[in-house]
Amino acid sequence: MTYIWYLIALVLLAIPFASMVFLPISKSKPVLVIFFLIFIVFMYGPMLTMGVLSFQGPFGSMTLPAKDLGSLHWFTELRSDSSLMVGVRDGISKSLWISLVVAAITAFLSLSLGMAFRRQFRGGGILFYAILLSLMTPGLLLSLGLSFLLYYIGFNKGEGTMGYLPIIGVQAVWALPFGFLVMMSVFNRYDARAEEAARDLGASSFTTFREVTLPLIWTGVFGAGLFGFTLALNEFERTFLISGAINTLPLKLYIITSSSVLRPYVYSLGVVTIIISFLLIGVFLLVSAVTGRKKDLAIEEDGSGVDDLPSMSAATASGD
Amino acid sequence: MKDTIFRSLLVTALCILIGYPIAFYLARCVKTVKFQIALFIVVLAPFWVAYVVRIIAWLPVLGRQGVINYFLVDVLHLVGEPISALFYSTFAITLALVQLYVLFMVTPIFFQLATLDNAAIEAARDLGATPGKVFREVIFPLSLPGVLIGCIFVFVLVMGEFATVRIIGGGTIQSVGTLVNDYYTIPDLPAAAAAATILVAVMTVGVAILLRFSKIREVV
Repeated sequence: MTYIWYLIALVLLAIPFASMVFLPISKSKPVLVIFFLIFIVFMYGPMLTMGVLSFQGPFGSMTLPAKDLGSLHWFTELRSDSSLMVGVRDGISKSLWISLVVAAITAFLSLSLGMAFRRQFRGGGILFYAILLSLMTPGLLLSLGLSFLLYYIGFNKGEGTMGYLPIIGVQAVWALPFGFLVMMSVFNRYDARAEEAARDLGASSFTTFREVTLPLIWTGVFGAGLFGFTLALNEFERTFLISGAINTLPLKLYIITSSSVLRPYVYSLGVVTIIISFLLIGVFLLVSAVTGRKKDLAIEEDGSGVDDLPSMSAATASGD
Repeated sequence: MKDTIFRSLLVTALCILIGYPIAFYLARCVKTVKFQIALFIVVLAPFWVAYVVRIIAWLPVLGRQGVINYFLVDVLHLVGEPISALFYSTFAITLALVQLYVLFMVTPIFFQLATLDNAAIEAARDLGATPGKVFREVIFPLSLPGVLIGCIFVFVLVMGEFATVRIIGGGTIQSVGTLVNDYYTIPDLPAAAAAATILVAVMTVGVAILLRFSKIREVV
């Protein structure tokens, strides 16, 4: 039975691919547009369904048909005093704090790494790949390895304030390549003449950095930090085995879905996290758009605003 | 183990099939840069949504009374009763994995295609090559590094995957990732370490094969 599904899927997928290969762009474009729209539905459809189902009334179920749409019951449920919800809110606040710390670390490290990579230095190539390696490491393995290490050095996971250290560590390792690539792309387009001018005018290197460099690149630093924040907020696999008793929001969600009876509050919780994520992206785009425009007005050059997409440099960097 | 390798290969193949046309559309069919960036952000945005939430979002779609079954049974009357095999099946897992990881394929291919030299394509066209030939001999070889990077990403990440398999597979379907996790919770740490080591070994071999087959050094 499953093979029929695979077969149908393969045949359907072959159509846009073949049209892309064999037809000129003018003819294959409509097919690709339709395929693109289907793709968007594929990417957003599940989330949208979840969103719709989270607005059900108190008798709502986990699946269709939705009952009493338009109620905020399951969102108010999140604020109730049941032990589960208290745990969830606790998870949210812990997640936010951890993410904030990770964001600060990512921003700082990305900035210093970006500054370091402005010129060649010994071991630079190895360091570059070492940073990018964490993009490709499955989270479970990182988590497992670190938990062994902690076990052998006699570190108690998830106890007290120290328990947060490994969590912050793995999440920063995960977020660093993204922030780093943002900074790399910022420095690629960076005009060093202003710095030289400042130095010629007798500014110390610290003053140059504070008065010239930082104002020019702070959007990048902000972006790197925001990346750190979002990625840390949503991180699950890397945190899973080393968190001990500290349950971040994604961990809490996983525990709920894999153990207890599911009610639509899972959906409303999901919707809340999605909204937080999209808000953060929105803030980021807004900031980079505003500063990008300012920069455009100042130097009248095109091509800004592209740098807020980290994976571009990821692809080009590793493709080189 | 065999299942996990097979699943990773299948998901990687599906990601190429889906991701390449999407990247191609974004990179070569969209005219204005602004529109291109906007569409790219729309495509990329789900990446920032919590991974667990994206898995959970498949519940109402694939479940016994989920959206797909609802349409098949109540709207289109294609099948008499809901297909319960939709959820808790390898098909559901594959579908969810493709949705989770296809972005890792789309982005590298997109940037490879976007930085492609138009002159080469036009030269080929001027020399009388058919569209199929232009694609085969010019566009595809030049975008190969992107495809390769995407393949490595998807293959490696799906190999180590466990939460999707656990939540959507409902405990009935195993992967090396869930195995490692199970050993860890028992706790049988040596077994977990052994399983993880095998996983790393297989992934390394897989990546080595990918690199060898495509001769990335010649292309780049």
